[in-house]
Amino acid sequence: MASPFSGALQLTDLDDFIGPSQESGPSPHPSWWWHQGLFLVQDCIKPVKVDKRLGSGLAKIHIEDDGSYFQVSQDGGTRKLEKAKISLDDCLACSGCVTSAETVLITQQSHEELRKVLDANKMAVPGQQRLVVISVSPQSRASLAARFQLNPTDTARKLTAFFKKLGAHYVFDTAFSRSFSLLESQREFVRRFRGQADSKQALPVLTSACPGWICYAEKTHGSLIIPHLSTARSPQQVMGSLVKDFFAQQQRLSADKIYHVTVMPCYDKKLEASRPDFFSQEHQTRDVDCVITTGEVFKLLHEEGVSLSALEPAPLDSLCSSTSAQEPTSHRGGGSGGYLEHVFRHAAWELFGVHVTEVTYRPLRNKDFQEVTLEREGRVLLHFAMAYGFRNIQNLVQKLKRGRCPYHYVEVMACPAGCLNGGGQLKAPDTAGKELLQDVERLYGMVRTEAPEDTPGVRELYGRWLQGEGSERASRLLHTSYHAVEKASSNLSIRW
Amino acid sequence: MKDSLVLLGRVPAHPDSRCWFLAWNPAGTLLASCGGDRRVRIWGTEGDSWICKSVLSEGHQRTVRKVAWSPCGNYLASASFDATTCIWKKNQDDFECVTTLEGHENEVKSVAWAPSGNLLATCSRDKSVWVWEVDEEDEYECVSVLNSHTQDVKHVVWHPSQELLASASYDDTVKLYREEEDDWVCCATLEGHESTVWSLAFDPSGQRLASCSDDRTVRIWQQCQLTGALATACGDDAIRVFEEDPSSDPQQPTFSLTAHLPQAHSQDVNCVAWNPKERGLLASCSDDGEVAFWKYQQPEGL
Repeated sequence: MASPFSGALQLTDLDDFIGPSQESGPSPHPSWWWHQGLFLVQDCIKPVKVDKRLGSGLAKIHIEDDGSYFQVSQDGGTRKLEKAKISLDDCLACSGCVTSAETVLITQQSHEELRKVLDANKMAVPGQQRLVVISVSPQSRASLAARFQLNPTDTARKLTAFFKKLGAHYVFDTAFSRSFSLLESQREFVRRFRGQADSKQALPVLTSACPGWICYAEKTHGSLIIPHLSTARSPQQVMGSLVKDFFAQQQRLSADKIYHVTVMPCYDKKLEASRPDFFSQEHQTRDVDCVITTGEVFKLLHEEGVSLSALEPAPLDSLCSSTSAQEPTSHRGGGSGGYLEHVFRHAAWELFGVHVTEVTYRPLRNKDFQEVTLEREGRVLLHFAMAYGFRNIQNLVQKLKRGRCPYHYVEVMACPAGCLNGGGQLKAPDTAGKELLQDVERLYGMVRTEAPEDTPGVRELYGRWLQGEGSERASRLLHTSYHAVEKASSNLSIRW
Repeated sequence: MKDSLVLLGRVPAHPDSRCWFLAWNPAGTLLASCGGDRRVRIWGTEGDSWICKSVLSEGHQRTVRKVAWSPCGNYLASASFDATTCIWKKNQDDFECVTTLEGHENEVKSVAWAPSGNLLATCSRDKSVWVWEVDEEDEYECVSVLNSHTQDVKHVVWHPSQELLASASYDDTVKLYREEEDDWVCCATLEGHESTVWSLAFDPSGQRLASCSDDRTVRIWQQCQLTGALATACGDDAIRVFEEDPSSDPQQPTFSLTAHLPQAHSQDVNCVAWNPKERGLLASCSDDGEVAFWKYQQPEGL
């Protein structure tokens, strides 16, 4: 069974065995860790508190056919062992567990969690209720549009209707938060390009919106890659800031009273939402409480017995009260956000006074590895690339390692063909994958694009909410940092 | 049958260690051996005996599991449990490590060159098979990372004339791969073995693929028919040779045991390799750290 996680994340798993639980003492048997169905078989070094029972002495562990563990003590008595729990947050600190292919059941969890919250909300007294906000990514919307054969505007409106029917209060589009992400990325690159004489690690700048790439980079090549990563937050996490800071204030609610759900094309985004950097100590709440994939939305529709096409469309919500667009907007530059395209055009203008109308991509060894150059009188002024998929990431990392990376900026995505082809997108049983992807790309591209600085509400929020571009608030709310994960070597790891 | 396989000589190739694998160079003049002592040794003849011509050390930090010569004979690849694959360039009797292929998450189990000499395949306990491309400047780049197997991949081998790759795994299957558009895909899965498939070999024509397994069988997968001797290295310390019965039905061939040497080595035999040029010259290596050379005589009537 193919793993739901991106290829980059898959290849970072280590030995398929966990060290023994603290209760029983050394044992050659693997331990399985559970957290609400998140099933991890791994060399987990994280100390887990397990209730000690009295009088065990020396014991052995037997695994029953059904997979349950029984401790057999010296006197022959048996006791079923309780399973220890690890939270998703703990996972990220570990060197490489999460993705043991078919054993990761995280996928089953989140839409159930959403239901629980919505159901609890229905029962709760006013004052105990949470405001439910759902932010939908344009990629998930395009995938649903393809499935139900609707245009993007109808899909957006009908999705809004569906989520509100379930109990959500507001439904936003992460294309709005993406504008901030793109603007920050543009500014950051120009600053680092100008400062390259002072710092060897200023260039290349590598995008960081893809959590599959980030997890791989942090775990496998931390010290090498981290200095090159863009610090701009991804659209999901900018939306987290927008909803839990700006919108919360506007609604006169504390951040923990808002339950923020995002709809994403992949599972890796769930890990991103769980990063400690995106947890507010002040309000004891995450910027994004729950991530559900496009597939999970489809499940919800199915469970409700609703066909998206049959729903009455609802008007679209917008974060900024001054705007009330009734159709979604997007950005140019492909289905993974358009980072390369925006940063390239901005840099060409800011650094060299060149106005680029059409960005020309040149495919290299495969279609997931393409480059773009800005030349003048035979000199290469800017050399950018996009590298999607694990094999291209590998080659990029090796070039970086050997000091042979010719690029100033690389848009890195873990999934071949980018986010539109994410592991959480809908599959059609009767359509070839390639055809379906083309359909999704076409529907994604149908949405009118606009420059991020022209997006209604963005300039206003830079002023009102962030108190200026480059301000301390902007830095804190629109940027993040990365952390190398040291590989743990366990004495008990079993080698075949 | 006892005289079918005659001992020509033994050398203590990897003392106090085990010898894992052997590979003859395309010209049949050199034999590369590798083992648990983290070294690769190159053997050549001097008169009637086999002597060690070079020792390739400083390349790996753990056991070297497999070695493979490039089709031109100028390069040698070594796959190691240290998760890297070294590429050595031959300069007369010396070998220089020109590059190290990194990327596998853990032990690399096998490496193989494609007949064109431009592609290399590696496989690992991380369950993946990687295809690499080498350019004129000896630069290697990863072309594809294939995650078709569900367990440790033990061996990779290329078809002798086509760009078709085969892999064997702890998941009991053999998989075949070819290039489709700009990526490599798994085009076939051969099921049948009841346990780990340890090794693979194509016959010289490429029309047949032999696989051997922990289930103690050798299976022949074919698309068409040809003859040839098949040698096996076994954990019971023996070497066996099989040949196809010329009278058997080409679509359902039968094989007979034509040589069986029970105590070929004092421990598990890990690898057997036919010399590509000298008919009947067979090399074997073992957990006892020794390399042995044998002369195979085809029994009369075949």
